[in-house]
Amino acid sequence: MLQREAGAKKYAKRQSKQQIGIALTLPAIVVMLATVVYPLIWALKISFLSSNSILTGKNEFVGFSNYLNVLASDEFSNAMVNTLAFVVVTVVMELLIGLLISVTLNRRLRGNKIFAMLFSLPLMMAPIVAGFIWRWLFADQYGIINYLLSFLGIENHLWFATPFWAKSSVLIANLWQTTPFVILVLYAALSNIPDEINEAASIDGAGGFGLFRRITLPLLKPAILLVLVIRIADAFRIYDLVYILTGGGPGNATNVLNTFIYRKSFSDFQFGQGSAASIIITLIIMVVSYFSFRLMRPGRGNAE
Amino acid sequence: MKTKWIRSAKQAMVLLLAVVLVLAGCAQSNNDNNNGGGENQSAVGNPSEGTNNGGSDNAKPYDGVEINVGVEAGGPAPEFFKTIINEFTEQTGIKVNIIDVPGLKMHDTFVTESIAGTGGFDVFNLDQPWIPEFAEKGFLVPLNDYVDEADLDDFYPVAIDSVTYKGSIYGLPYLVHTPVVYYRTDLFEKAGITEPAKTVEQYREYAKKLTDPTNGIYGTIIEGQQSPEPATQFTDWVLQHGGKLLDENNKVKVDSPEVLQTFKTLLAMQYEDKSSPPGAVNYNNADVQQQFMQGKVAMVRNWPYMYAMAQDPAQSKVAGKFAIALQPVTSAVWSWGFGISKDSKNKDAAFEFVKWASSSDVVTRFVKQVTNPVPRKSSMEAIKADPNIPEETKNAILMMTENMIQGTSVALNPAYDSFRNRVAVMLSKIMTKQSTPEEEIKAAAADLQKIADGE
Amino acid sequence: MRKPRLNIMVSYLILIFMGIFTLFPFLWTFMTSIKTEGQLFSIPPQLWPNPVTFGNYAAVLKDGSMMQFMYNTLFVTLVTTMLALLLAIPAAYGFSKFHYRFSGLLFAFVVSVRMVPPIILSIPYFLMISELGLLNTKTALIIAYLPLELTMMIWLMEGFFRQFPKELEEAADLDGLDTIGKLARIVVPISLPSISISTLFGFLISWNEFMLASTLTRTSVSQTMPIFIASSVTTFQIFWGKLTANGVLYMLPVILFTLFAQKGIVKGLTAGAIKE
Repeated sequence: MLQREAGAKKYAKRQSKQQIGIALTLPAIVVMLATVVYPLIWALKISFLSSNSILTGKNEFVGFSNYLNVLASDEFSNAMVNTLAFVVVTVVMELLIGLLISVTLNRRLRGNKIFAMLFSLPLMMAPIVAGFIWRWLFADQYGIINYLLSFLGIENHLWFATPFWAKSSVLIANLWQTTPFVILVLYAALSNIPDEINEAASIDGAGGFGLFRRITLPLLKPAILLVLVIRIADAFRIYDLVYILTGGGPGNATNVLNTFIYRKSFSDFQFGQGSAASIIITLIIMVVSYFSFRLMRPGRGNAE
Repeated sequence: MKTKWIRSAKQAMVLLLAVVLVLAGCAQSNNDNNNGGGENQSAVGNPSEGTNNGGSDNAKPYDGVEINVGVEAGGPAPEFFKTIINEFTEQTGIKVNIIDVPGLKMHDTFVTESIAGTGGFDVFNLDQPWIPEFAEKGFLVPLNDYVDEADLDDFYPVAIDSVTYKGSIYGLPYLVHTPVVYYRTDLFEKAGITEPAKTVEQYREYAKKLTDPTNGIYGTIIEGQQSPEPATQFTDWVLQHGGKLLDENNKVKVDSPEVLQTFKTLLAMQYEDKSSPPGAVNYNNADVQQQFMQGKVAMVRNWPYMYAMAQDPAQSKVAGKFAIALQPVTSAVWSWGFGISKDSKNKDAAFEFVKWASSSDVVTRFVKQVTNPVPRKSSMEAIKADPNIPEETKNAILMMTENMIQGTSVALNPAYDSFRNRVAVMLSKIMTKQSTPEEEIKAAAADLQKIADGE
Repeated sequence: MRKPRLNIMVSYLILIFMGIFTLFPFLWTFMTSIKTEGQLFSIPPQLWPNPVTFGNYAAVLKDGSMMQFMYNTLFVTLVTTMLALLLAIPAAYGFSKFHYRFSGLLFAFVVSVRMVPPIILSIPYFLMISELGLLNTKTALIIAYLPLELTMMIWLMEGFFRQFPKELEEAADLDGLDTIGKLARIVVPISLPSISISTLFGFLISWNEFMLASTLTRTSVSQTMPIFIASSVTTFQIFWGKLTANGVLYMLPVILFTLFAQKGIVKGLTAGAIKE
């Protein structure tokens, strides 16, 4: 009797918990659906239409041919390779630098607040403005970076003339813009680790790096995961910086997925293909995110 | 329990709907909805569509009509038009909203508007390469029925060629130009060169002579950046080697001995003669402009607009020390003008504007303010006869116009944007030595033909 | 706890190095904005402009049109962010602690909006907004930006809320607080630093957005600062003086706001542990 009562009570409790969940999340979901579902469906729809017919309004259905054309195109593969390489390199570096800086900030040395403020500045510059500024900084003849480099004996370095350096310039500018995000999120997470835990651990004899590795890092895992997935999604979609800094060059060496889509849509007028490419990319990001999730949080189910 | 869920969902929907309606309502009433399209008020006083009203009996035939003209934000021509637009309104009664569109987004904005068919812009500022594109997609109104034959004759033939596609005229130009050669008269003297280069070989030779590493001066600049401008300059180099990129039958001519030779010349100038700075493989015309005005390069090709800037001591270190010359052999002619959107609800009024902006008087005044070639014979006469224009400026204008008249109209293709992008990639790859000319030309030719065929 | 000197020095070095890396583009931007046209392009670059000119700033401020753009941006960003906050906090809380049948899927949907290349959205948004008759209005931007902010804010806050200590929640339960009360009285105040940071990021999304703004707006009635700044770029040249001056002015509100609010944000961050 008591068992069944307890069971029923639990069921009721879970029921009401679910309802609360729905009530809390519904407004936001409804708003999002209302504002974003039309564009998404439109994009999906035209990915199955022939590009020419989209412009004339005749909307000719062509099945998956847009998708196949995109996947088969050299430019797409090139953009894909460039983007993948970029994502891996930038996310890894952002995490490493972000961890280093946020941990250092967490030491609460004097002047901490000022540094924290300082590090968040790059976020406040619009990406498109940052693109111009970095192009200006990297200019070979009247750029300040080359001027400073000349004091180190490096004369007139060309930042955009070779694939390697063009990619590096994009990487550097991007790191500048996005590492603050990682720093701030990790720092917030670090701050949430109660001091008692650190103290307890150090009493137990763990110190310095060991402390970090065995106590702090696992506790940071959720935050790192969060940042990782957001940054992967963002890195895949990089656009403004590349467009302004290199335009995808030289020789398409910095052509990334988004510049590819842009060109396909607005230069080549192949909206069907542009859309198909967008869907493909979205799916890829989803898959990559899902697997990153899984990898770092095995055994994490939905149930509470 | 289920009902509670449904109830809260319904409540949320109603609330959301209410919010959206309120916001939309506010938007309609409070906002100065300037777009002239959709459900609003610019249909007032619209003369009937069929008649080509020249304003003969009525002093202001279009009184109350409003049109939107999309222009490039900050561009010298738009700025000029803004200063005198009142005269146009005085004459015709048409109120013109000159709408600044960021240069970066102009092409896309016009494309987006045309696809959506909103008619938000009556008139588009047109860069000539867009004309085949837009015309083919039906974004522009053919102007053959609107224009006055006699008036057309006043334009130089290349000027009208530049706005014609498949026999129809899609715009009227106010600026028709081609790059000229800017050269340092003082450095020419020092090097013992008496007159500007007339052939490519001479150009190359002079560039070598003028390169002076000790004083940090280069002979010329070979633009190599993967972007539209360098691709355009490259077109001229090809023409000067007797070749072309695309012929009138839409056949790509990139895989040809002339284009190969062009690349060989450019590579030689860049890497053997070293008469172009190492960074030039990533320069576009903005860099050319800056380098020249800073006195770092002796001889460059650039658009006429740079003339006035380079003569301004506040901006340029070479004011008074240079002159302009015709390009060796020939060069491609390009233009900027205005065209009418197919979605315009005021096509007649829009044409009045297009006509006015390219009219003899306006164009003459424009050129006086921003030293540029003139597209009209009557303007040329007016300039020559005007006593208030300094001799130097007059000569400059004459020279630029001369250059333009004998320039070459290039065959364009509706897919010109992608065409040019692919050319830019080819240029960049070869100039940065990522591919050999032979390889890349073949690869590019194949791609370009596909693009030209509309695939 | 003893902190060895070398250790501290290294830490400072790291911070300073990062600080320089972060700061110098801003410095150079400011330097550029106070140079004249002629000085801008001097080769080699002039470190210290001489003479210094505030002409670029004067021109911008005298023009007056910048004010309108700044106002538009402030309006759109503030309204969008406030709406997003109202929606995102409960939603994030709900997703983190109150799972229901489709909540995982819906959360994935919310998050996936951030995975779509934004370029492809520009045309459909344009079509949608023009159907609604809202082209060239600030409302259009609010509608377009809301999902963008929501996706980021919900995503971030869900993570933070999930870390919220159960004990505190249970304590609140015992005190007889219902969900809303718990959220308002316990969770939000204690999570303020995380919420502040998420809000800041959301805010910046709208503040810095360029592409959709350029698609959906046409005149100064609704155009935002990024567009105004971008108009310093013409086909033939880039007006660096104007661009940098506008860029600097544009960052000031955000920097000032962060400075002002830093007590809340950074205090929360540096206060550290959640004391019981």
